[in-house]
Amino acid sequence: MYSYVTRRILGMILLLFLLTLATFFLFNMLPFDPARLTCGKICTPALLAANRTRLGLDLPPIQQYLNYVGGILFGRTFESTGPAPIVCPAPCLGYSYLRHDQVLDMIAKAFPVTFWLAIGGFIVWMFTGLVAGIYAALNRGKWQDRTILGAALIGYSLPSFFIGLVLIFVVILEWRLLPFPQWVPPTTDPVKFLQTMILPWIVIAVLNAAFYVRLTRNQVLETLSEDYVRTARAKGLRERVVVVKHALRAGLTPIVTAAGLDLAYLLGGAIITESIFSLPGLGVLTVRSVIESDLPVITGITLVSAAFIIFANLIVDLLYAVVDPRVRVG
Amino acid sequence: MIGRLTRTVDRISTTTTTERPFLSVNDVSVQFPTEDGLVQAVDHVSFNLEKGKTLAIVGESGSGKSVTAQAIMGLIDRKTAKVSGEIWLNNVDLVSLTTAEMQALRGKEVAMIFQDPMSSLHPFYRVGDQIVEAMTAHRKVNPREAKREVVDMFKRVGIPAAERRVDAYPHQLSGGMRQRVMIAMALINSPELLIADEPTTALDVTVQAQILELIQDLQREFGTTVIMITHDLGIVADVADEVAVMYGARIVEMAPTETIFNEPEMPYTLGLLASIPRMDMEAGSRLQPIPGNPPSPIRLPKGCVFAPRCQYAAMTNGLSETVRPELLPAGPDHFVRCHLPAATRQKIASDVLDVLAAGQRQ
Repeated sequence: MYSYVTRRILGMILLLFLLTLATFFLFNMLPFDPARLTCGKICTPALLAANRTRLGLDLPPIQQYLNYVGGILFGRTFESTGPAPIVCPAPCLGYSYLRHDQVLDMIAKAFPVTFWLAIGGFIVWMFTGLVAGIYAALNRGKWQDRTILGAALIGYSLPSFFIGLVLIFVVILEWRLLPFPQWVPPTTDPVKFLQTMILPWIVIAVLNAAFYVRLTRNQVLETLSEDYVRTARAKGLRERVVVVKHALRAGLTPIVTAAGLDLAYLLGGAIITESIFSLPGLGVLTVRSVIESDLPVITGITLVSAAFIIFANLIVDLLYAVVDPRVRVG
Repeated sequence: MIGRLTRTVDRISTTTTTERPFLSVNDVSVQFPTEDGLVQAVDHVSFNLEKGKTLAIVGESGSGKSVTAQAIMGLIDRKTAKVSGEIWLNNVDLVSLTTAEMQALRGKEVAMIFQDPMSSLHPFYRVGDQIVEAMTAHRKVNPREAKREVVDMFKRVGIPAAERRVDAYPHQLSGGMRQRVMIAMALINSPELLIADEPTTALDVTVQAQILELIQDLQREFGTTVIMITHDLGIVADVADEVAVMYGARIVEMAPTETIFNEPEMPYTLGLLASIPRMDMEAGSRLQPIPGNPPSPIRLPKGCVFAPRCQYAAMTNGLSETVRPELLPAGPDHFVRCHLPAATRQKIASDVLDVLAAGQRQ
């Protein structure tokens, strides 16, 4: 088991390394000229050349990449127009000359917003998805089942910006049940935090719950017809125990996989939901950086969200072993 | 509340008025409505079984033998199927019980061993825990005592290294061991009635005999009544006191085991006997299969259900085409569902048995 984990972690590090290579060259091949962007309105060729040298853009691409990876591992310094160079300690994801801020700091500032959004939405959608999915499976073919499947289909087809805008319009503007969303950390003002987050959580949950309802329903239906579920009934167990402990548990593996990856994906930023509710998370940061062509920030966010997915993959694989004893190695 | 009280009173009064056999299946039918039509899986099946005896229910796939067993276990989903008739076990009618009442009996007074031990155990739980679960569903036991009881039961069903095996997962055990685990699970609450649904079909031949012997030993030890469902007449000869042959959702012949083997009367039973391979058969001689296939349970033939495959159907003067035969007495404890006159049936049977015996002698 331990050797398996070690092997997986080493593989993960290798993958992350390849990832830096891919993201760095992908974004550096884009027809952006960061030197031009930092040059301002009155830009002379001499100033442009000076900027290029200052940003290290005149170096060969390989050298630039090595500097980038070196920055992540050991930290680096950037030249500045001011008296002192900008120190960027490891892990240095670069420096945004546009915003005059360290990329890592910008990500770290935006991440908690995205984190709370993702976690809350995750809890809401997993709960509704599992409960409604089991309920639909137990009433297969009846009106309850058809209603739930129909609702799931609608939830699946509605775009999240539409749900978000309708919710803002109805709940906040028409009914005035909630104040207009404004981000505060839960530690500062828990009430305001909940008031702000409840609608974004619902928006996130609707789309995903629709998927998990169908997944759970199908899994439970499949395992309910298994021989070991019949054995559980033959033992005289109560129906709830039969369904949850025997049928659902056995059908959990694909649900765990999907849930882990979906959560990780969401941790990379929910662009539409964050934008609608003006939550200053990674999604909003991504949009702003793309609009402003702020290359170091885009590269940094891509790297971080990809790392989440890779990490989630490892966690999911380890969870398999917890869920299914047949997977346990060694 | 009142309903429950009167039902209990009913039960008590029946106990005092009539003396029923330990298990009395009376006119039981199971119907599954499907999109293609009504499937009559079990059609007016009746039989009695005395305590401690073994009944074998024999028949092809789809003959209704497993559904009969599931009806006794109360495992048929009443939402998708209709069960009618009476199943009296210890003077309680199982068909009339509520879901909760049946749950309390299932696994405690009636237990079942299934065909495929590979898929009948939950792959995610330790086998010991799965058996403890069967115990705690019916009685209070503290965990340590429960485990000790499981270890004891494992030793009784012949699982070596029982202390270690209780902590194993099903995939770590062989097929034979898993079936022993299933038997241990079925017997853990000392049920009075044990239903074994083709318990050896999925096992290696060498293990089959061990498992059958085990079931018989345990039956003697615990005084359990057994219903053995099988399509293997070899097993029937070994274990059964009585035999019910099923075909097309009905019992077509029922008798003590010796009668079934020595004086069978129904042509289908004869066909089954003729199709058993024997060690003493001459090499190269052919088995005699029953021609044709079992009827579709949705469109059963109008007359005798077996008539289309019966080579003696012509001898009934067309009766078998139009009239369903009844299950009628043909001797002491012997019931046959056949239009052929008794003398004709007996003649045919003795001829067939003679041919089989001649085949052995050659």
